[in-house]
Amino acid sequence: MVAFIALLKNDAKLVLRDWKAIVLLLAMPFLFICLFTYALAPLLNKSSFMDPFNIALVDNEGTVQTRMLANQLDRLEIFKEVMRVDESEARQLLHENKIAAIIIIPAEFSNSVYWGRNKPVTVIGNKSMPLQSFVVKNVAQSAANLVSAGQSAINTIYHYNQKAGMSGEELQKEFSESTMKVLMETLSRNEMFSKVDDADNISVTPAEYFTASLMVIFLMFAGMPTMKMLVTEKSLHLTDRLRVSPIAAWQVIASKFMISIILSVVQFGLIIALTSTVFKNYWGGPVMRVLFLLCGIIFAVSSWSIFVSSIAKTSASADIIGNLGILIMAVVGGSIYPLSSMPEFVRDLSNFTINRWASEGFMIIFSGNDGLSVVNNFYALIVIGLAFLIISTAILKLRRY
Amino acid sequence: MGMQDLIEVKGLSKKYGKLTVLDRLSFTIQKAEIFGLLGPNGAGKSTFISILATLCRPTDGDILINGLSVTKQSDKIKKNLGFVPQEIALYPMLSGIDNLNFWAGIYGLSGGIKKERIQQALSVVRLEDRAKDRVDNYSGGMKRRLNIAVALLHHPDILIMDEPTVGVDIQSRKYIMDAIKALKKEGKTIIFTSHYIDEMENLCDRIALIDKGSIKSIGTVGELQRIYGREKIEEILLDFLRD
Ligand SMILES: Nc1ncnc2c1ncn2[C@@H]1O[C@H](COP(=O)(O)OP(=O)(O)OP(=O)(O)O)[C@@H](O)[C@H]1O
Ligand SMILES: [Mg+2]
Repeated sequence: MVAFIALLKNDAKLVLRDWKAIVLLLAMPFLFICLFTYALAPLLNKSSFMDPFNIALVDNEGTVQTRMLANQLDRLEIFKEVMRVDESEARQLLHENKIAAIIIIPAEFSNSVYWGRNKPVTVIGNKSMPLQSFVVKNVAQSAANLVSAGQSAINTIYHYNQKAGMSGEELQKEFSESTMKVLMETLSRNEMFSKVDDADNISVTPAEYFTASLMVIFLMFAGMPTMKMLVTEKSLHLTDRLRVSPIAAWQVIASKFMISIILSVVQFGLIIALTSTVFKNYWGGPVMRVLFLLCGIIFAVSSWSIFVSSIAKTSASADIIGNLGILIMAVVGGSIYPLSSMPEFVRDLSNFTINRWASEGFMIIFSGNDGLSVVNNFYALIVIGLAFLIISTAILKLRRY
Repeated sequence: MGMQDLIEVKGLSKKYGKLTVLDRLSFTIQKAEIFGLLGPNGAGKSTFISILATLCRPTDGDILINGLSVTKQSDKIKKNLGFVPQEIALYPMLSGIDNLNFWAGIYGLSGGIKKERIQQALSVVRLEDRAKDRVDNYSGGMKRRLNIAVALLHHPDILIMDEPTVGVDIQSRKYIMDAIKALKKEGKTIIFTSHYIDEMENLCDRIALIDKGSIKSIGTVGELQRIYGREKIEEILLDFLRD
C-alpha cells in the first residue's frame, strides 16, 4: 500500500508539473464547443440533429383510412422510408438493424375508432437505436392522442345529442356522420404528424449536439498525459527498474488509470458546469444515468490510452499514434460527420468506436427523456475497453521477453 | 559447491531467435563476494545481469538465489535485490532527493526510516550538496552516482550493477569504487560488469571472463594470472579477442 501510494503521488506530481498542458486540456473542449456552436450551428437545420431513418409499417387493416395514415407518415422528414411490409418481414428488418421501429396498425383499427373501442397501434422499437425508436413512439402516441381526442369529441356529441332528445334514427345518423368527419379530418390533416414532428422531436440544441460529439474526443485527449507517462517511463528505462522492484505491473498501470480518471472527471465536471450555464445544456436527467455513461466512457478511454502506450515505443510515436487514433475514431464514430451520411461499412465499423456509443449516450441524456436508457451504450463501452485492455496486456506480455 | 554459495547459475542459456547470446552458463557466486563480469561488447554481460535481476527470462536453465528460482519465485527475490541498470534510469525533471524519495516509497519505506535511508544513500555516493537540484542539471558522473544510490535505499543483500562506472571521471569513479568496497564490508554481495580492467583487478574477489555468450574462465585475479601466464588481465582479454 505504501508503495502504491508512493507511485500514485509521484504520477500525480509528474502530471501536475506540466500544469500548462493540463489547463489547456481542460479549457480546450469548452472553447471548441463554443466555436462549433457559434460558427456551425447556423449552417445546420434542426433535422440534422436526428438523421432520417427507416421504419416499417404493418397495415393489418388495409383500408382507405389506414392508407391515408401511412401517407401521413411518408410525409414526415424524419423517416427516410416507411416500408410497407408484413409483420414477419418487419421483424426480420428490425433484427437486421435496418429499421428503427415497427408500427403495427391492428385489423379493424378504423372501426374501433368508429365505435370508440380501444384497438391500439403497436410500436416495436429497435433496442440499438433508442433515440430513433423513441421518436417513433412519440409520433404514434401523439397520433393516438389526436385520435382519442376525436373519440371523446364523438362521444360528447353523441351524449349531447341524446340529452337534447334526438330520436334513435336521427341520433345514429348524426353520430355516424360526426364520427366519419372527425376521423377523416384527423387523418387527412397534413399537420397531424408534422405537428408531432415539430413538437416532439428530441429536443437537442446545437450546443448539446456539439457537446455530445466533441466531449468524447476531449475525454480521449484527457487520457493522453498519463498514457505518455507510461511511454516516457519506458524510454527513460524506469520501467526496467519498476519491474525489478516489488511493485506489480498492474499497480503501475492502475496508478496511471486513476490519474486519468481524475482528469476525466474534472474535465467532465467543468464541461457540465460551463455548458449548463452558458448554453443551458440539459443535464437534468437522472444522475445515475449520467454517472453510468461517464463510467463507461472513462473506462473505454483509459483502456484506449493503455493500448496506445503498449504499442508506442517513444513519447513522439505515442503522440502520433494517439492523435491519429483519436482522429480516426472521431471520423468513423460520427463525431465529425453524421453517421447516417456515411457508407454502410463505416456505420458498421462505427460500432467498434468509443465515439459512436458515447455521443449517442450524451444525446440520450440531452434529450431529457427519462424513459430512455444508456445501458446498451454502457455495455458497448465496457466491451470496447476490455478489448483494448486485453490486447495491451498481450502486447506487454510479448514485449517482456 | 561451498556452503557460502548464494547464487547458483545452472545451465543458463538465452537465445534470440537463432542468435545464442548465453550458452549454458554454470557457476556460483558466494555471499559477500564482489564478482566481476568482464568481456567485450556484445559478450552477453547485460543479458546475464537482466536474467539475474528477474527482468528477462532465460531460454533454458535457471539461476537460484538462496535456493529461490529467478524465473519462478521472482516475487520473493525482488525485495532483496538492488539493480543498477546500464542506462541512467531516473526522472530527469525531478530533483535527486525526489527521485530517491520516490524509489524509497516504491520499496515500502516511509517516515523516519525513509529519511534516514535517503541521507545514507546520498552520502555513500557523495551527492549531499546537490540533492535538491534537478537531475537533468547533473553531470554524467553525478547521474551515474544517483543511479547507484537508488539501488541502495532498501538495503538489499545483493547488488547487481551493469557498468556502474561507464563514462565517469576519475573522482566519481573513486567515489563509486569506495562505495562498492564499503558495501562489501557490510556483507553485501555485489555483481557488476565493467570495461575498466584496473577497476576489476582492484575490486573483484573473482572475475568471470565472458565472450560470445560463454564463460572462458572464472577465478581470482591471481588465479587468472597463473592460468594464462600473464601479468595483466587486460592481456588475457586481448589474447581472447585475438582468437
Ligand atoms: N532484445 C534483444 N533482441 C535481440 N538480440 C539481443 C537483444 N538484447 C541483446 N541482444 C543481443 O545479445 C548480445 C549480447 O548483448 P548484451 O547487451 O548482453 O551484451 P553486453 O555484453 O552487455 O555488451 P556491452 O558491453 O556492449 O554492454 C548482443 O549481440 C545483442 O545484440
Ligand atoms: Mg551491457
